[in-house]
Amino acid sequence: MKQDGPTPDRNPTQKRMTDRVHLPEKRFFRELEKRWKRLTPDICDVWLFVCGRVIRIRFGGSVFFTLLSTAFAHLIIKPEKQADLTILACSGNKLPLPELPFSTSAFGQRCELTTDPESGIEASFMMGPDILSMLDHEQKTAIYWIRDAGTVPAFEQAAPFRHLFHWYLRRHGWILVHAAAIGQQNRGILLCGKGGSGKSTLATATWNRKEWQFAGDDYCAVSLKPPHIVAPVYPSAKLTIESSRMLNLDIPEHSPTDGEKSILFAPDSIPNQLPNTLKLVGLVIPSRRHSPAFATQLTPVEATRHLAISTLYQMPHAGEKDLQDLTRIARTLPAWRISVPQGRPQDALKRLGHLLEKPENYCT
Amino acid sequence: MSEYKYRINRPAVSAESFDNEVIIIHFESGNYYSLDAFGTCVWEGLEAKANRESILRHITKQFRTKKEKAGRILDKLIGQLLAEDLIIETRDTPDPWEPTLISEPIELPENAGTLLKFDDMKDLLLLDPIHDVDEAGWPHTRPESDTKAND
Repeated sequence: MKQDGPTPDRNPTQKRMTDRVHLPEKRFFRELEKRWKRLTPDICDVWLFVCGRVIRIRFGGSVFFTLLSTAFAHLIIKPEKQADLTILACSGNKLPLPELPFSTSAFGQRCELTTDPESGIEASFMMGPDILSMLDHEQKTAIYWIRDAGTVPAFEQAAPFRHLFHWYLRRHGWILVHAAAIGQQNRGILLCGKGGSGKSTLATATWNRKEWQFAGDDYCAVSLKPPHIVAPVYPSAKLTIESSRMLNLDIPEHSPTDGEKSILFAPDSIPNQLPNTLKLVGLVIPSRRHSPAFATQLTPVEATRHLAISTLYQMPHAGEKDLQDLTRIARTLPAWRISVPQGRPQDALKRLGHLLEKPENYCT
Repeated sequence: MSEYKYRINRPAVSAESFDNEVIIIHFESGNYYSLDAFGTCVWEGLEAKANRESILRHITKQFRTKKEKAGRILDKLIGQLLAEDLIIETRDTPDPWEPTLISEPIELPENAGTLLKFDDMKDLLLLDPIHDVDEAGWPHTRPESDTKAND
């Protein structure tokens, strides 16, 4: 049991550790920025338009640029005079990382790094691939560093910079959610639920079906103010060879792979099915359990559980405000659990089409 | 337990209240929880930094039940919330709390004060990175012997 109260005197070692956690993140950021600028002339710039904001990503290295920019092909715009956010991206191959100014106590469960709130910096470090993300909100500058540009994991290629985007977008009226998004005629639904529930099966079943639009398989951005809209920030999907054959899709030779699945990007494979945005008409939680009724309406509490929890557990620094924002979305939109029997996603899609057309018919 | 004072274990814990239910998320354990209508009254009191007496008074206005019975359920629930690290003891002075009643009292449901616990999303929380680094922080890796000792 934890007890609150006066803090006992720390021993000198503990005090030193605490000092190191809170003081130098700003200096570290500036130092890294300075070293990054020395990388010129090997810099590739990409300008993106993401949820109404202009984001300039400056890649320090062409290999790196090729690996991480594929996911954003649909967001690329011509260079602008000014960016709302500039991301300086580099790898350990070009720029060795100075010692991080964080002790072990600063490392959180969701990769977050504890920073002094007064620094205006949010940070995360993903162990394994060793990816450092730092966003300085005041300076409108972010740093993205990965140990080895030659071994960027497939999940990172499918959804790069997502910690930075999450922190940035939540201050500008959007939230990055862990959900798939599909639609018809610019009206969409979010498919929520944990892994194995069938959301990806259903989302990828829309590929090569011209009446459907696809905005993402894993992460997409939802506007915080109603009417809620969803934007395809990461329109990629993981497919096995069998499922890609069923959908008449060619897997490009150099597609990144995650286990037995290949990652396909909608802008390459199904460019005509990619919407700018979809107006959300509801949340859908697929279930593999057979049910006599196709769709059962859920309460806002149930909808919040499915939408919020998996999102919050994956995003560093997500907390009370994000839970409130996600709850507001779940309270505003109707939500249904739908039955998607194994091996028959097309049947469920057909009925989802009806739901999209007349959601009021499925509300009690 | 009559003099206890507690507060929500923020920022490790976030919660959202609905009409008759509260969803509570513990970001460190990866568990999430649901409280029923009785628990919702208790949570509202904890949010307001109220003491036991104020919370109990509110409960007996919301539910038709004897004070002793409500008190037993309340104390049991507080014990569970503490055990799950959702609230922590505090030495703060409790704030006065006089919530407005929005409905007539209802019968106390059977199993009132139930805290439902869910752990099905735990795997989404990434592995604790601490075991891979030593006190100096990344990139100083923990010596192999230390790592093994932690296994």
